[in-house]
Amino acid sequence: MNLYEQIVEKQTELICRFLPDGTLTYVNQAYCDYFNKKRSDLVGKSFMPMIPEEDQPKAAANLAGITPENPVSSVQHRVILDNGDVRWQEWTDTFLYDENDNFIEGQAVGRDITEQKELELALVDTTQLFEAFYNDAPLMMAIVGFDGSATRMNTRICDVLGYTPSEMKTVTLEARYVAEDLLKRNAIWGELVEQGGAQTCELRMLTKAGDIRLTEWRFTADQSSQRIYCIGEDVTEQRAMQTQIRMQDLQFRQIVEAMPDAIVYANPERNIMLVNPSFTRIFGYAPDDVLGLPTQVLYTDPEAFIKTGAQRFNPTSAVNYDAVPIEFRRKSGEDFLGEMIGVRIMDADGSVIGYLGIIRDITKRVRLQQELQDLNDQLELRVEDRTQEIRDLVHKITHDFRAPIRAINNYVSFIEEDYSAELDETGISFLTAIRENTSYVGSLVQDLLDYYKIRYNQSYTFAPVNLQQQISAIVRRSDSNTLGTITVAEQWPSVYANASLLGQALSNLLDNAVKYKAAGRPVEVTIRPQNTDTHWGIQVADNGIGIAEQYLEKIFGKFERLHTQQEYDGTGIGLAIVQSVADVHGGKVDVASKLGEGSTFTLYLSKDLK
Amino acid sequence: MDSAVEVLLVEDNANDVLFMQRAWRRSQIPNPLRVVSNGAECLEYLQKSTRDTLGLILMDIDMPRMNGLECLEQIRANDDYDHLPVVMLSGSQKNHTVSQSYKIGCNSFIEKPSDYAELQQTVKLIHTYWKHNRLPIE
Repeated sequence: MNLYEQIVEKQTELICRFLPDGTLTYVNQAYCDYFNKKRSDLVGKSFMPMIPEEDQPKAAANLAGITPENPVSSVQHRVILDNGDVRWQEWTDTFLYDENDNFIEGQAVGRDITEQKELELALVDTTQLFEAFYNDAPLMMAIVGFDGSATRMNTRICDVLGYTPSEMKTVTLEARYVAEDLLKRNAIWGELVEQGGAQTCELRMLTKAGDIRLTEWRFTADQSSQRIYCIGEDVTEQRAMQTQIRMQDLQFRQIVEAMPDAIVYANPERNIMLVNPSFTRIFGYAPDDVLGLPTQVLYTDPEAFIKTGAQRFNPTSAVNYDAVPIEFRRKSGEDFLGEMIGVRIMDADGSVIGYLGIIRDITKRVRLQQELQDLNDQLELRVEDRTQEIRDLVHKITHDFRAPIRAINNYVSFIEEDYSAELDETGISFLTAIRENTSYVGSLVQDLLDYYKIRYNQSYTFAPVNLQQQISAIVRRSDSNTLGTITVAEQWPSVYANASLLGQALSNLLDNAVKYKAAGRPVEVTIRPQNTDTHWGIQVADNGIGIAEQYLEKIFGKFERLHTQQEYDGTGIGLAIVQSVADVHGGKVDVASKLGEGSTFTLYLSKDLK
Repeated sequence: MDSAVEVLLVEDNANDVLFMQRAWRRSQIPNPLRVVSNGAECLEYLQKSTRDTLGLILMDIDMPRMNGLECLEQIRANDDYDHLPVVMLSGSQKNHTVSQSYKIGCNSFIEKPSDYAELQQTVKLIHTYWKHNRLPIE
């Protein structure tokens, strides 16, 4: 072995020589060691099969690219070892030519670059990862030198500021800050450049369109690279929402604080968590006096605390907005009557997170109600007094009227007895007129007396009345029988009534039925019972002149008359008395009528009378 | 009752006085009917009249100055006249007034009829009754 050969053999790098077809003519010891083969197994065979198929074209191309003018070329490819390992190699090929540029032999020097290659690949991977985050993150990122030169800006910055990436190349960040915010940033950067570290700040930036965006930035200074890493976020919408929430919160708080009722919010254990100013005003406790204490301290009676717990303040109580009257105790120890609305407060999942009590001090209202009640009572007494006065007055007036009317009648009689011989026909007719008038006034006074007696008598007693008997008796007693045919139904219920009032009302109805008779046909009156769910009715139907519809409502009014005294006599109080009798009996009077055909009056008596 | 015995009517209402006088006359009662218009006048009359001729008092109740009940009380309280029979004539039918009158000491209580014909009947009955009764002055 010559010296040259020895040098080659001792090289740690792989060395080989080969023919144009790739057949190895020589390999050094390192080559053999690398592939773990004997030299005899390698020389005389092509190296191509040791290269993975996908790398073979690359290796072949490298060989084909070598020319006499450009006799050296490098290539990186993988090889497959006998044990199956795949390794990366870098080869530098040199071709030897004769004087006629004929290829004689190739010589290659190779080394294992597997580790280097892996590092390279890992770096590519990391870079790709960084680029992916860098470009796709919803954050603005920039790297700026201490001197202010921007090395990099990601696309998010472009998005936020409204520029395309190519436009952004001509735009500096400094130019996009609102003037006074740039001053603020510069001050921060000054500190960072001097002292290092990181700072966060909010800065307003202008978009291409001129809109202002609120951005939050974190600036981190790196002294070694003399750079500031900038990570920013567009917080315009977020801040707007936060502001809105803050405003709402503020409004709610103001509403709660402005409430005139005491508001007590307690946790699920019924300990006081929050109270409003009205609570302090009503109960006398400052918030600090009671926060954390069980709400029981507010109740006069511990039982009431337990009761409200059972009714309102438990996780399963139904929502009920009815106010409950409860006696509460102020800090001073004074008890007062309050009205409380109690409800559960739940979170979005429906679990109870607390209880809300809204309490109103109703001391004043109760006192006012009492005063009102007292006033009402007084008023009632006064009304009672007045009623008694009216009753007395009516009695006095009617009583005082009756005496002179009788006196007048008496004098007329005296004249008739003593002086009839001296009077002519006209004189006699005057006496008759006086009698008619006094008779009318007499019945008017009697009717009024009856009416007011019914109206202002406080209590009537009711007893069972046999209607059959009572009606028959009235018909018999009255002179209506002589004026027409009165038919009374045979089946009558037994009712509770005041017999004397009922008699008076029925008598009035019967009088009317025969009084308003139609010319040219005999009077026919039918009296029959009526039965409703709540009332018994006594119906008196006639075939008289009837009442025009527009007057139906008027006929029950006092002194309402539809006819002159000459046509039909009467005081106009009869039906008012019937109406009053119906009132006393918890009933009413119904009338149905057809002008020219007749009227039907029905007096209803309540079935509830006892 | 002797026809000479006087009867005193105490009545404030002029109509009633007139009706009573007519009824008295029409019933042909011979006894003189004296009239005063209230309790006070009645007492005055009793003081100055010749006591041996007055035999019966017809007394209205509702009168001004002194009513019938007060007057009756005075009469019963006076030794000189407490023996005189007094017939109360009243428009009032109140039970209380009736019992009150008897308690004080009236001899009869008659409801004053509002109808003249009835009044005349009543007057006849009063006369007939006292005609057959002995009076203290006789």
